[in-house]
Amino acid sequence: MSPRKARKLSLKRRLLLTLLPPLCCILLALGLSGAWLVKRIVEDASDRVLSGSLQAVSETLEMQEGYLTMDLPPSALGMLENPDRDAIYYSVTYRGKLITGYPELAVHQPVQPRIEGIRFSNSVFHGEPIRIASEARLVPQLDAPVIVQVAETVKNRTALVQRMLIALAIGETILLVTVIGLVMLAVDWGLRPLALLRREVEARNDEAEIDFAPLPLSSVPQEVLPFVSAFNTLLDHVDRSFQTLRRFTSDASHQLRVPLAVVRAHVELLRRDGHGSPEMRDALTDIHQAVRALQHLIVQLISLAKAERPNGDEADAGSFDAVECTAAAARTYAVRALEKGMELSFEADCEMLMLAGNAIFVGEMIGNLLDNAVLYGNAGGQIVVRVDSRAGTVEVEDDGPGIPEGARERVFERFYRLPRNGDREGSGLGLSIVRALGRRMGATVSLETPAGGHGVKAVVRFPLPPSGSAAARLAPAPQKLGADEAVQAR
Amino acid sequence: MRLLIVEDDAALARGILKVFRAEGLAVDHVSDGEEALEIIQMEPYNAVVLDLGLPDMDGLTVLKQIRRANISVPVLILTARDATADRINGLNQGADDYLCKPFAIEELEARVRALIRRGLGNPDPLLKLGTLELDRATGACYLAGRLLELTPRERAVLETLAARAHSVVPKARLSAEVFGYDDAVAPNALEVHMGRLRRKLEGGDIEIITVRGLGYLLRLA
Ligand SMILES: Nc1ncnc2c1ncn2[C@@H]1O[C@H](COP(=O)(O)OP(=O)(O)O)[C@@H](O)[C@H]1O
Ligand SMILES: [Mg+2]
Repeated sequence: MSPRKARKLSLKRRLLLTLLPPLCCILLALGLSGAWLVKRIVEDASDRVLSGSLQAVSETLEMQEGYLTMDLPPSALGMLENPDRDAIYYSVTYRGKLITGYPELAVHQPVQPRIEGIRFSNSVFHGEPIRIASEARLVPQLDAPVIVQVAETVKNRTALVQRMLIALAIGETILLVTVIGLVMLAVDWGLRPLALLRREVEARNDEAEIDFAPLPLSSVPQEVLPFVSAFNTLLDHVDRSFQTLRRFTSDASHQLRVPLAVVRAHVELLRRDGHGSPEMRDALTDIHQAVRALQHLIVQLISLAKAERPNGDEADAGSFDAVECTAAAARTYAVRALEKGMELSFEADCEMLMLAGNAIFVGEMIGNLLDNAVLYGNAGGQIVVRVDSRAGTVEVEDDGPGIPEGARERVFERFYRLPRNGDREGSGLGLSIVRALGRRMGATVSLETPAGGHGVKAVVRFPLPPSGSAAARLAPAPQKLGADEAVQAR
Repeated sequence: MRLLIVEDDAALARGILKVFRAEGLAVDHVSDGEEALEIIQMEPYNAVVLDLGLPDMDGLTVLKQIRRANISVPVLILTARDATADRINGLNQGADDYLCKPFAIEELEARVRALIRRGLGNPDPLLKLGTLELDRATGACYLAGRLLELTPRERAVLETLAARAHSVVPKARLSAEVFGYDDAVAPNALEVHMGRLRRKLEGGDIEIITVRGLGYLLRLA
């Protein structure tokens, strides 16, 4: 399934898709029956008033001295005849002859008026729809019923129906919107624990040091619990296979050492014997070089595996003197630098700088940086190693070709080497090791451009102990450094 | 000179044997810990090369038992394991030196030779570098066959540097060797001696190099 499709089927969508159609049907049914009911109620109520008027009229029909008399009480129709009420019409007929009222209304007589009962009918009067109530009344001494009709226009009742329908519609709309809003809110609220989980997982996504500890189950909703548990199980599996892989690298590298030692010993012996044709000796030289490169690679692999082991074993405890560690590494590499015609110098702004960490690890870090400076720096160039106690940094600076800005992060990747160095000795693991070891101690490693404008300045920044703690730094003895400075000539 | 190699890898053992036999040493070889313990207690070896990964027991156990039996033969440990923890362990258990596999043959040779010398108690009195010859016993010093007139301090400087030729000797250590710890020394006293010594070495095939901030190094020019 494409990701876009997957997004379409979001939880909210799903919920709304399942909720909305039935909800709409219910609302529609409710609306229809409501409308019908409203109409009925309004009609009944209005009809009752209309029939009241009709009866008030018809009850006054009487025969007096041979005449049919009718007393039209003003209240009977008057209560209907106010300006904002509907117009009222009436008619009284006997044997089809209009006795009083509106002749046009008499036309609308029902074919078969009910005796002693009221009939209602709809019609049009003067172009307006009207409601007519008719009654056939038997008056003593008359052989045929007198038909009495009262009608009113329906404006009022239509308006009433309309108002009620609008109220109904508004009510239904409010209900619909509320339901949608509640669904959204409920989904968001229900998903909040998941968002928290996501943040938790994202926070661990530091590519270098992935945290495989199980996710906390405390705030996870019941429904998601199985999923998170399964995810934790997966994490555990991944963690274990990760460890296995690391151990494998380390074990395999160790296992490789013995056969490599055999090859190296015998190749060196053969070379020393000096037997064989020149081609054979060349081949031996090649083999010897390859064996040394292989050895370097294996040693670096072991270093890296060691550096990337999870933190917290005894190797991480302890403290070291940054000045001594760095000076020791610099002394070792000074010899190689001299062989290459480079000048290596060491500067420290203090005699001792005690920091938390493992001295062997630090030696390895500085050694790898020095290895690069010697290997990639210019023959005849300068290498400066610096300990800055105020900043808590150790710097290794060369004036070689440098590393292009864009590649300064990539060179920390395993096995990555600048294209121009592809054929030189080296494994591409050095800086990865430096960074991994640094991370164990909370130190950061960065590559910068030296003040001179060319070359590389590798800076290792160690976390400084809180300034209040027992003074870890020994101030320099100024005369001594001065004297050192004085011995420039060789 | 008798040397014992304790190494379970036959091919590697053959190589090592070849090296030291070529040097004229009497070399024995055993491939497990039991055998090693037995033979070490019987024969007077001048040095032992001990592999840590033995089939029957850990090399460190062998070492511990040797020391417990009060045998002080110099021991060089060989290991395929990782340096850091093992090195400290090994040296604590009474090993004299330590080498990681794979190693350069020259390195092994040099270290074993040094061990044997140390065991004999008389370090080689003659120091040589290029045409420099320094007799520690008599104090005589020759450069290209010509006798060098050196003050005792200059000789001490040269001797200390020559004993660790091609490596950087920290200034503090040099001062300690030359002046002793107690002498009150002018801050630039060492530089004064160094300057004179350099002048006397001029024209020869060796030179003293200042590694700024770190110390001095003697090397072939
Ligand atoms: N001081 C430096 N000057 C120039 N290029 C460097 C320097 N240090 C590292 N590099 C480049 O970064 C790459 C990676 O370095 P590193 O991780 O130490 O591996 P390796 O040195 O084994 O190749 C090197 O191959 C080189 O191209
Ligand atoms: Mg490197």
